Amino acid sequence: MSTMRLQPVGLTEADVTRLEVFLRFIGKRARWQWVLVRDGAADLLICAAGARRSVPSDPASEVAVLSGPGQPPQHALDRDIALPSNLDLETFQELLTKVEARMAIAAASTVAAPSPPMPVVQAVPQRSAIATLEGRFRLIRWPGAELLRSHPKAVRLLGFIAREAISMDRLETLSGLDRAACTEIVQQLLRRDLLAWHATASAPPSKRLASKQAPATEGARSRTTAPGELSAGLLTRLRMKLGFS
Amino acid sequence: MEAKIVFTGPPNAGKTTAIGALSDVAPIMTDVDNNDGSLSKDTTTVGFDYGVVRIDGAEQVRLYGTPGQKRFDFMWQILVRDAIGVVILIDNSQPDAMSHLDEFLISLEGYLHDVACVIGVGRTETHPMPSIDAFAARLAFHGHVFPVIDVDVRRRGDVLMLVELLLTQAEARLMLERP
Repeated sequence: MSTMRLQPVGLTEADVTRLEVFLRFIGKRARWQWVLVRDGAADLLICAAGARRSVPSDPASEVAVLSGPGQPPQHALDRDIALPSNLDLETFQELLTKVEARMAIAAASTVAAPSPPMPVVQAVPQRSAIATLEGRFRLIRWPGAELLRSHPKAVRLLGFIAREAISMDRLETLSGLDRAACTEIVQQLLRRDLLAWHATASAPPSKRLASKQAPATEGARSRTTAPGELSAGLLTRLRMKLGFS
Repeated sequence: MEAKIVFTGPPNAGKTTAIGALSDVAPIMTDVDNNDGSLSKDTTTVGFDYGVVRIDGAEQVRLYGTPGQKRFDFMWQILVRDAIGVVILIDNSQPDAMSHLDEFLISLEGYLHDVACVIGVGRTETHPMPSIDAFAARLAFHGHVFPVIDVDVRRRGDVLMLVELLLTQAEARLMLERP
């Protein structure tokens, strides 16, 4: 279990206590262990609205900013995460999830491409990514049933980008959809903030290769037989039997 | 090699019903009288439910429903091993539905990296909270990106959607790992 450090900046004691209670509640269940620290290095800074200026504009940590009472959540800086003043458990949990996703994506990209130039990875893609669809895209959360039901063609495409970051060209080849259909689906996902964007066009090593290079301690996960050992034909025949396209 | 799809989740989540919606044969059930007062049902599964989707000739995909109680978690793992995928059904009308998801994700942690998975949340019409978004966030919190959808397992179309989402993931994995 990874330990992550959360540091309050300029919060009232009541707000700090609330964070401690939240952490106690979810800490036992979380895969990542979060601890609250008062100083030193931190992975996440939660700032009071007026305290944002005391933090560097581009810190190594993620920054979340609580809005003032009665004010709507506002981003202090582009990358900051805005929080409502009455932070509840669910919102707090979503905050941690978002920070973990950002860190996991950044870490994965670092492993995949250790030599410079480092890939730029953003949970929230740049406008240029939406316009040009260059780079690679990876799903960070599946869309809801409504979108899945209204875009049945999207389902197959989502399976690929849920596993790894993929460029538009490769996505077109894998999904069998034409460019226009792929573009429409990816843009919809981007608008819903469901994709992480990787600036580099080259793909990381496949998971199969990565798993072969993994240390022996990872072996416990290999007890299951990979679906790769199933035949694609069986899955196709099952798909046809159940009436899927 | 056995091709199978597993339905798991807490008691009363609809595993037996979901298998019944898909199976080409009458599902074989191992239900006994329920003596757990916290469950509002007359019987509960203590072994596993079993159904079959016959594809062609001798080829078939087996459907397994696990017992829901935590004390049978060793069976969840046995059944999920080597599966095409696992459907985790959650009953949102139960008081701590989110912790049920935690329970299954933690128990199956060693398998979910290799097996397709989808979460179906039931009874959301009458019990909309926790929201589907909250379940998705909790899933991400555990480090997984799987589909989470609201379902009514009495509707065959909903069960088919769960299976399609599993197949999509399994096929994607096959294609991406093809040399």
